[in-house]
Amino acid sequence: MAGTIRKEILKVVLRETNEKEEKKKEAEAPSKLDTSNSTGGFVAVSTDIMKYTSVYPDKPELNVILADEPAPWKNLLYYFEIYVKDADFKGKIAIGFTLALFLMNIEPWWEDLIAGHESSHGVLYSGDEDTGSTFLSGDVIGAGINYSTNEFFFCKNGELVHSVPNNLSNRGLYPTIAVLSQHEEMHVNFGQKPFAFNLKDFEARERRKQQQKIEEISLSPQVTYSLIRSYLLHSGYEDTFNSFDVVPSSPITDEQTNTLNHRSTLRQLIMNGNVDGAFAKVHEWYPQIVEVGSQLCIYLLHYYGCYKFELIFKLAYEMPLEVLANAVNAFVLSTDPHMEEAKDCLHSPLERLLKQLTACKRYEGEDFLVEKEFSKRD
Amino acid sequence: MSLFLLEIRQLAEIEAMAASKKLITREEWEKKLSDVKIRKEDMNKLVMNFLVTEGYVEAAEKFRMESGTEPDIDLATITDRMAVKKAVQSGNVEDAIEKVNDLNPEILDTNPQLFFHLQQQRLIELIRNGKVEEALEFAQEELAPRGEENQSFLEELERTVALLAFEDVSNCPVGELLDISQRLKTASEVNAAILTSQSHEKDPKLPSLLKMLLCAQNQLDEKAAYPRVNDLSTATLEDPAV
Repeated sequence: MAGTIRKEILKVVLRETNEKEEKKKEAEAPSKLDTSNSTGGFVAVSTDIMKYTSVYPDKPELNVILADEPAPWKNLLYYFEIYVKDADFKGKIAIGFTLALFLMNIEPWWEDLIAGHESSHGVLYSGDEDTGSTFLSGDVIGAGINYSTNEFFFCKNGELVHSVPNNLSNRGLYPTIAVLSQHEEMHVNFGQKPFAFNLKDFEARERRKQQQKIEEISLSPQVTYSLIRSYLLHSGYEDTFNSFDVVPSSPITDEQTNTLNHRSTLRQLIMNGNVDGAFAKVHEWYPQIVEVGSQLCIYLLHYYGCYKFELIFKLAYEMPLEVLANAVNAFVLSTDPHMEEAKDCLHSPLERLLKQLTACKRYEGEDFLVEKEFSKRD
Repeated sequence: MSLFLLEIRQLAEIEAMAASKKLITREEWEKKLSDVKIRKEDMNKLVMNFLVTEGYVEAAEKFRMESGTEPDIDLATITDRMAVKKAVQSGNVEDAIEKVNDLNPEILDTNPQLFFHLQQQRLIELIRNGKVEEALEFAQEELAPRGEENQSFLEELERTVALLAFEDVSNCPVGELLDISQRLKTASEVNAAILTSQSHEKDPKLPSLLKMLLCAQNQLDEKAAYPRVNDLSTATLEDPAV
């Protein structure tokens, strides 16, 4: 059993070293409206100025144009604006987000944009008709996605005017402009110029709300206590463990107590630079580890990426003492029958939680580091 | 409200896939986890921060010796802080006030709310011990003047004095003031004030990181199905429900 776990430890370690995840190229952020991705009638005057002229001058029709790329979704917010240079006196403009392929199926009449109807394809906003607040020449209109609250939000002349739940996918949402008229001119801003809406303040407010949401989560003090306890036990900090563990939350077996004492001794020997003394103790206490065929030393190699056997023992003496101490600790833990999996030997629950937190944050596109948290004040 | 949502009748198959939640397999997620390196030094700092903030002075000293992690405040001050906390928790409020002033007289000078709450706790202890006359005199001389300056103090004083109107406190609507939890609340407030005066956070970092994890997982749930941790104590990864 223990031998299997040690082999598993090696596999995990070697995989950590060798298998670097393929970095998929992230899509670029939107930078311009794409006339090829539209229902026609749009002419790009420049990368940020778009004119629309109806092909049926006597009959207003719905026409739609999308940005060249979808909104990046690994952020807290995404936002873009248009400046309505000419709204046309009969005109109606809507702004929002749609999934790319809807253009294949769109029916060309404004009536098909059904007010308040749930849709799995997009959301467009054209102002509040009840108050007569539609979009006119000279207006700056903005549309955004708040990924933390899962909402679309809309702005007019720098003010937040409306928000609506986002029931769509967060991926593949293209900034979209729709017009129902004969002539329009608009300037689009994907962040190349300052926005009329104060996005920085809005983001700061959203982050504060997020922080408040975090603080409102209730967490039993027992959870923190047991994580500290298991970390001290896992790392072999025996004196701290005994001092901290005044009221043990779970019994420790004799086997665990033995390895705790041994691991504490081995860690101290190594950290004091007495590697020979530590290896002698490992031979004395855990001959089964050595018999597995220098796995301990192979385990250490992943820090250096060197696989020549004759260099193994030399490396053990040259590597950082902390690394060596952690490696020896993991292998001694593998002799404990209570350790069911390799990861239990390699990483304490505390470390696994911090890895999970970092992975979640990074997946969302946030550059999260535990060490940065120490520079923050509550 | 003119909110226009596009209704498209025929949904392309590929679009349906784009709109669905991304599935991240255990293998893919474990690769991501293996790319994350958590430094031992940072974990040790988190542990030391917890021991120091929560007042485990002996454990903090041992941890300093064993791990080489230096605490960010003088460990001797933890002993003093714990003595203050203990005094409040056992009802010796005068002793606690004296200890706080020995530690740093500015703490109570610059924090009138804390000082009022300590005096209020002192009044509660007098009432608990049946010293009715002494309690009334103390309320009039020490607390009433502060109540005149601050409406919320006055309301709290009135609630506290209401304890005297009931012989049987179990029927008293403000009986919870005599609970041990009230002592703990005051002790916690003093503890936080001392930590703040030492330029130290009043809460340990680890619980807020754990809350951050719960929040981050909830947020990621909206976008993807992935192996998540449901039991924080064991940190076991559970496969995504497909």
